[in-house]
Amino acid sequence: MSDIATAAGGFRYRLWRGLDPLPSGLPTGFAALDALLPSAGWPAGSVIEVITPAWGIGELRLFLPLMQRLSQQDQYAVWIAPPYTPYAPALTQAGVSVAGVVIVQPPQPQQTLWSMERLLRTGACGLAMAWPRQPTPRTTRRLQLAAQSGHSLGVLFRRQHAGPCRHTLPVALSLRLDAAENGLAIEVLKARGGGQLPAVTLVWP
Amino acid sequence: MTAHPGRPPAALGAPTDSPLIGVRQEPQLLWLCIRFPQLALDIHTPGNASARVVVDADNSVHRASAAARAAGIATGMSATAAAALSSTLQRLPRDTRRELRALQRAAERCCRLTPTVSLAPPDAIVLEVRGSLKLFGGFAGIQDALRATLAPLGHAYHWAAAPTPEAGLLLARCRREIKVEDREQLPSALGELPLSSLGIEVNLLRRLQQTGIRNLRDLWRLPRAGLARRFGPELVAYLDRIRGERPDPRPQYHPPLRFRAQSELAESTAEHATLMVAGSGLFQQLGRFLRAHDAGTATVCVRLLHRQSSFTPIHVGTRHPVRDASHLLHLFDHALQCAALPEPVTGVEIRCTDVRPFTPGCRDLFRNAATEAQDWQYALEELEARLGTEAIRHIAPVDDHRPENAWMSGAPAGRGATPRRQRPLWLLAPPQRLARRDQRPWYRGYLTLHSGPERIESGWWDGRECRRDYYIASNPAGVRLWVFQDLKQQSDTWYVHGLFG
Repeated sequence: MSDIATAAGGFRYRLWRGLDPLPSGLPTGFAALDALLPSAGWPAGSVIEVITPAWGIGELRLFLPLMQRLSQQDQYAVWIAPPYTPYAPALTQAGVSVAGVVIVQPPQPQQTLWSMERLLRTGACGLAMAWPRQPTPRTTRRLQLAAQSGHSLGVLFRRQHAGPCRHTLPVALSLRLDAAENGLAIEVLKARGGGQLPAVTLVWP
Repeated sequence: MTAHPGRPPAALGAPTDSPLIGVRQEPQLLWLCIRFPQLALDIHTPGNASARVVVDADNSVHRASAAARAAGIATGMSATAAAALSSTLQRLPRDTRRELRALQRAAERCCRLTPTVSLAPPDAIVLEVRGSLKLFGGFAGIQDALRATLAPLGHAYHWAAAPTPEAGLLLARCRREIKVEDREQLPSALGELPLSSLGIEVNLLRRLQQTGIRNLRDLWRLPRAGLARRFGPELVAYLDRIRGERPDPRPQYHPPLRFRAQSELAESTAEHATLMVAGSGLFQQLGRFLRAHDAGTATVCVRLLHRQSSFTPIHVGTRHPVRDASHLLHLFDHALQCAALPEPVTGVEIRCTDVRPFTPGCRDLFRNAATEAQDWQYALEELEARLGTEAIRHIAPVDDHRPENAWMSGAPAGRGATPRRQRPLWLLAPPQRLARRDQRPWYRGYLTLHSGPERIESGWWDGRECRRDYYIASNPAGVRLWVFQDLKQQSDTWYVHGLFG
């Protein structure tokens, strides 16, 4: 399989592998990551999971190029139950228009995923980021269906917990982040249509 | 037989100069004018007997209460002179908007006497009552009904009835409470009225008085052409309107639209499905009402009526006026699911006072950007219905050097300059004080400073002064932090204000 893939070179992703057609990719803005991911970017119309050891190591910066492009296309980026306040001057500094930023702070934690599902289903929402407390495989599947029908990208941010036991969520892409020297180390735990993928380290520009 | 130009030729054999048969002369209109002389005072706590004056923007007395008039205060006097005459005088600013609202309330009540009601600001309304005479059993009946209608408002009023609105207003202004039936009687009824009661500007009035004209009769004796040349055509037009020789169309007052409907339940229940069925019928009625009036609404108040306690209010709000009953019902569904009912519901009532003109969105055969935007609005409205209106926020940068003041929550229209130095994506509000271990700041590990300091010193003028040195730091876990040292405090105090997410 890997021989064929190597032989086909740049056409690797066009080979039919007996799987669902891969969703079209939204460029991540980082060449190393685009080259790694099977859909050559964030898989549009699906839900992805980002696992990070702590908030603030650069998990938002990973999505800044996408937010920037969405604000140029007049699409909304929604932040649902963020752990801190998104800081407006920093967003404008990064070229993200705050007019397209909507923050949803549900009074009860269990409403987070309901809000995300409702917003993903509208076509106008390009990116919905949520910081849920306990996503389950069942709710994630619903989110996946909503993202598919609205053709938007859902991102679930999760903090890595100590124990090895955790749910495996039915997401299209699961990334584990770690801090690196002036950058971010990304380990792909799971990618639909990708198989085993090597780790990559991004260096901030 | 001759054919007149512009007139159809008469039928053969018919006499050409006979009067037209079957055309009845139109009965003259009868305008009942009601003037509230103390309206400007009445809107500030009516029934107060103390000496009070309402002062105009140019600091002259607009209206004086009876007690103030007894002290010698007159309209047009300067407020300072009035204050010199009475030591206990209370001065109130004039509020024309509230006066207009009071006038609209009176007009709304008078709509039960006749459909033709119009406002004559600042202090009068005119009603056309010819068509209502029979219903109320003559003019005396109308007067009785008028007294009963206006009594709850508590405003004193003067009335007058005349064939033209201007004549009626003139009589009411002069407190001649009479009825003039016929236009022919107007000159004799109005002739003795002084010029000062005319609704004309002060300079024109003074010029007329200087020429020795004292009352309307003097004015009517003068030739029209000369009057128009010397005092302007507006005066002649006004005099013509008084006598009904010139049409005087008046905008009709339309009371604001309101909708209210109630539905009793067969038995008291707290069941969601039953309440939704009752609500569905009511919202469909509302939808039909809005469609019939080509209107939309953005707020509907639903009341779930109880037997013991009075009612549970449920607010259904949208971001733009809508008239789609199913959408409103959908929002009601979400709000109902989150409502806490103290006891079973015996009835449902909906009220809608916010009826606005409706502009339908464009509909396209294919799904386009407009429908997507509408979907988006609907989704946000649903979220607001379920999570509360405070749950949805927009953020915007603000021009301020202090980091905690450099953003605001609310309308997405705000603009602010982009700071030159790097700012964190996450803000901690309020800043969190850092612990210290071995004399070094600690945030899940010892902090290493990377860049800084950036001195921010601002806000001495509003009592929230800040004097800080900001640094970019990181901890062993790789979290990049925005920390500051507070220079206002003597000891070495560090805070974390943001995370570079």
